[in-house]
Amino acid sequence: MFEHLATILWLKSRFVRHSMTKATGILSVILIACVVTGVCFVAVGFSLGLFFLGVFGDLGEQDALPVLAISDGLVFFFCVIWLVSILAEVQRSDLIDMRKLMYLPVSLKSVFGINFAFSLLTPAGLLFVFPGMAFATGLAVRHGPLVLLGIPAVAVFYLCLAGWTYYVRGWLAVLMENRRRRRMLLMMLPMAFIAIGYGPQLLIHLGPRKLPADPRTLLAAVNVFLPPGWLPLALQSLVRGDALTALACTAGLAGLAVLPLSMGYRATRNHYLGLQSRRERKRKPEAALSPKHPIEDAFLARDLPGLDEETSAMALASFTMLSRHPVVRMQLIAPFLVAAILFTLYVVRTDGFPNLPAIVRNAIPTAALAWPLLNGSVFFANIFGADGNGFRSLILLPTPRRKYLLGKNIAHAALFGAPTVLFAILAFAVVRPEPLALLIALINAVYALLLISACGNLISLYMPFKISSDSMRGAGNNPKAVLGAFLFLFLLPLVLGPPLLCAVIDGGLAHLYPGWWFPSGVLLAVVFAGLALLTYRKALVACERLLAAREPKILEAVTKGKD
Amino acid sequence: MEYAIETRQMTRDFAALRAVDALDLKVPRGCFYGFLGPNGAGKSTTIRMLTGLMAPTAGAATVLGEDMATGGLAAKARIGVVPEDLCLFDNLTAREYLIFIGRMYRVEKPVIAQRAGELFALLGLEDAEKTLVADFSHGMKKKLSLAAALIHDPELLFLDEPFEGIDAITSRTIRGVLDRFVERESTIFLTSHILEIVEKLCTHVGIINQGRLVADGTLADFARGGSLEEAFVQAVGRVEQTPPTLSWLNGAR
Ligand SMILES: Nc1ncnc2c1ncn2[C@@H]1O[C@H](COP(=O)(O)OP(=O)(O)OP(=O)(O)O)[C@@H](O)[C@H]1O
Ligand SMILES: [Mg+2]
Repeated sequence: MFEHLATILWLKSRFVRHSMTKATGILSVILIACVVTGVCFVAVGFSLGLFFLGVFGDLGEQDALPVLAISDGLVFFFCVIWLVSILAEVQRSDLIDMRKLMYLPVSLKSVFGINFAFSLLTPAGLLFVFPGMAFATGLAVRHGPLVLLGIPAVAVFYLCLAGWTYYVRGWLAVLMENRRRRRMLLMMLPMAFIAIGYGPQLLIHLGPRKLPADPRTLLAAVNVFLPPGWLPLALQSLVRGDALTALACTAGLAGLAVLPLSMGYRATRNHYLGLQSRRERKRKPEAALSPKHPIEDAFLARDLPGLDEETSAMALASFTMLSRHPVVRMQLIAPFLVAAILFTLYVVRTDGFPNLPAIVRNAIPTAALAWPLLNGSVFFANIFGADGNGFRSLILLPTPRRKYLLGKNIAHAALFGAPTVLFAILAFAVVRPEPLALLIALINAVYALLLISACGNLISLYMPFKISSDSMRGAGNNPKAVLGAFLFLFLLPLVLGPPLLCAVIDGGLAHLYPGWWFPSGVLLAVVFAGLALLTYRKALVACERLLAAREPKILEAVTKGKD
Repeated sequence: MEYAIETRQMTRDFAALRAVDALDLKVPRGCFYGFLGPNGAGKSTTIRMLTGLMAPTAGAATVLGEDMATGGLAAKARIGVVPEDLCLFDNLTAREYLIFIGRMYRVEKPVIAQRAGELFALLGLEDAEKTLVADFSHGMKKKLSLAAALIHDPELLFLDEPFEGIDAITSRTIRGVLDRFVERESTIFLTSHILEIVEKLCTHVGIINQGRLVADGTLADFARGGSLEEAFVQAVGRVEQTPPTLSWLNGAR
């Protein structure tokens, strides 16, 4: 038994070491050390603060209501950190794969148990358990040793929460084994979190205006009905000398802790042994595939107007692949939120912000051009990054390389340019500048996308890196990605400067020469767009030669390592 | 005589390791060339250099009369490749991938439709047509790679271990297809560790060991001295009467 424990511990330590040294080596070790030290400092400071608060704060008054409020705050704060850390964890999906261990002569129970024990060791836990216990100790110094019973209550609460997290994580891991479901999940989770974050605010706005007369009653009710409130309730009753309530609360939490662990163990066992739950057995087999459609109907077989065969195929294939990529999908959620906000503004502010100076209003639709720069940079500046093994087939094809670049640029422009145009139009509708401002913004969008594509191609060729095809990994922690994004930021003035100039020049001239009527902004925008087009074409020729020369290097970069 | 593949002193170094060492390879047109060698001998590296996936450190290669050093786009239009590490896009379905590849080779759309249908049927992938490649098994990926290599009816096929991970029935089907392929005066360059298959299919055999070509000729030349396996073991230079075994397997349990 202990040998197995040692094996698993060894595996875990390898795992941690591997993930630490993988990307950036010494730098990430230093970074992790800083974070750990920081967390320890905060935890110690927090514990001391709460201890002294417990000793010297006069918290026993008014039926120990302050105790309830403070520990409620602590629990709430902790739950928020905990949720955020789960989100991060799921995206890394560093959960130890139990199947790898099943080949060893180890019992599933011990693997499950050890995994659970490891899941307890988190920074969030450190930030909660010690301060919570210190608070209970401080209260005990002031209000008598009975309050020491709060220490086990804190521990049980933590076990309970960790148990549920463990259960949910296991459930997520099982869900994520299927890549399609995993994609969905990675997309839905952030939305769910946004909903959780905004839900209460919405409720406050929409719900009944009048709260119960006594906020104390409300607080007490919340604490009774929501299980996380049972810990604060226990502490409060201990300070009041009511041991029975405290014990009941602790027992309740303990019961809630056992439940997910046993459920989780059963589910895990069934999953890894290939047993089906009753619900799954009832599910019908998947419907047979729909009858075959002729290939000509396929999206990828379409012809794009004005483009030749290969460029169309490349653009449509890239578009399809990107639109299935979870990172892109997540990034495309944001436009909906922004558009919704803009639309709401449009409905609410029918006056069109008359206080804004005309020059600012004219510039606002053009400011939407920042969107593809800020959000699409990972893909614009690394056009082959998500191709992975597929890049090999791009090398093997006889296609002139210019068509790869052009096709990919068109796909990116469509994905990130469409929200840009949408924003420009909505912003125009909201602030109601001169009608020409919209035309200028649209021409400017062409300028910006051409310029971003030209520069992005160049960066893609010199600093390619792998983006995993089904998760967020690869984009965040790669030094090249960070550097590329940085270079992109330097482009900001180049991409946004001339368009903004076009947007405001007429207003400025009219200010200087009253009666100015010539649409110089539009003209200037057309000139800039023309220049950008020339630049893009020149860059395309240069990049084509470069791509042909650098293909093997790029292949190595985008296929390096496993997902 | 013009060769389908010809290399002159083709060499590839990885840091201190010389994976392929001054290779002089001549593959006649219309032959089924089996390229053999132990693990790590340099077979895949050779195929990578011949198909443009990797640049040689020194030397040159001509494929279908085109110099590969200048990119060889003209040659690439006429060859099909199943590389060792495959070449699929995870986020496309099998069908989409074939459409994409077909269009890039400028195959007419009705022809793509017809060939894709036949290939899927032949390789037993009909039910997986609309599955993302990411959800494919290893053998299915291999099959799809083969389908993509065949869809533009190339003159020369490079197959790096095409039978690895393929089930027995499909393997037999594929062998039949490859036979037909060579009958039409097309050329196949194949690596495989399964000597029985090589013996059955190939007309020519080359053996590489530690980056050097140690033997080549027609299959008949090899067969004269006994089985291909014996010739292989001899060429690779590990002639022991009884193969070595594990010390603890001597004696009873
Ligand atoms: N990208 C690379 N970087 C470093 N070394 C490499 C690389 N690719 C191949 N090698 C080395 O070159 C040698 C030849 O490798 P290659 O893949 O050509 O062997 P192979 O004959 O195909 O072997 P197998 O039969 O196992 O596929 C090996 O020693 C391998 O370690
Ligand atoms: Mg190989």
